[in-house]
Amino acid sequence: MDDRDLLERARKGDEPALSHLFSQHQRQVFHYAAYMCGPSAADDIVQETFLVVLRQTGRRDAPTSSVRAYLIGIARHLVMKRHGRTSEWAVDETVLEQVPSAEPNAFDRLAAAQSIDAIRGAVRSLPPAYREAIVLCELQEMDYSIAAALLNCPVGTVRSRLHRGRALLATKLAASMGEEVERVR
Amino acid sequence: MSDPVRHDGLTQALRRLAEADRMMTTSPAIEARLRAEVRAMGGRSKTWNGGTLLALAAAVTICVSVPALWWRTHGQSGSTDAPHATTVAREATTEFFPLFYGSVPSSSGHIVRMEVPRAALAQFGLASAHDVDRTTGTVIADVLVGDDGLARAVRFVRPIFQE
Repeated sequence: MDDRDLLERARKGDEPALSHLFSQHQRQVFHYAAYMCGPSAADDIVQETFLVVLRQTGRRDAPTSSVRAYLIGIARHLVMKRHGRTSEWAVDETVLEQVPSAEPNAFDRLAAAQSIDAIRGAVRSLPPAYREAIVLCELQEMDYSIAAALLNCPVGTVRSRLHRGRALLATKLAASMGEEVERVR
Repeated sequence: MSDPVRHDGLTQALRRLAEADRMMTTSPAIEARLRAEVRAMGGRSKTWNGGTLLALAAAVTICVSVPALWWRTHGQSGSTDAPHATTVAREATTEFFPLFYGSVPSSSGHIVRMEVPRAALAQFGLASAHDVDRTTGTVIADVLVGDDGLARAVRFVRPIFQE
């Protein structure tokens, strides 16, 4: 039985079907929500996402790609609604020019030594449009075409945001590593 | 010129983060809440026939009546063992008030008797003065719990004492 069947059964009151669907996808939805609006709100987003899905009985237009992308798409809508200001999600095209170059070997050594908390903090500090590209395509390893459908943009835009997100992330990590070196001195 | 975007170090850092993030998960209460919602949806979508409704009503009645009868019987026999103490002659109860999961269907259930803070009365629009145990500040409540462990309804009990 595939995810779409599980979804239809859950909507008809099949509790084991919901349980199976939930265990399959809750972690990715929670993961996305935790990065996009903070861990404390992530539980609420997951609950609201599944409630929306369960109550959309009779709909024939969803999901179009994968159920996972469909669920994260709903979570994304809820996150944006919660933020209240979609302008935060607008992409700043100038950020790439602000990225300084760094010697690859030195950077690689230092990046490998960064703590998980520092890396997570750097991802969370990215602008939302780049952050979600990193979360979906790098951390969740989502296919670019599925991510593009989810984000309602061309695949090229996903690649571009991912590239810029990585560039910003490298800058942030390099900066935090510089601060760390200064503290040690 | 170097390209920080293609650094292996960054890729490795993100891989480590993805690995650590596998521990992230929703709290168990969320699944419980969703399961209750699905049960409710299943209940709403079913067409109950007369026989099923009658059986359900009978089951609920038995679950409500038997424990209450047992409690009364034992309460009265206990009172005869202590002739000089103040004893419970009978009790007055309110109607059952539906709780949050009150609309979730359940095939069976049972009543759990407990003491709750007097503030609980006010939440259901009841006055508290004559129902409160003055030594503990609590009132007695019967909670109707479904077979899934979710509380469906509550009623408050006022013991009527005699010397």
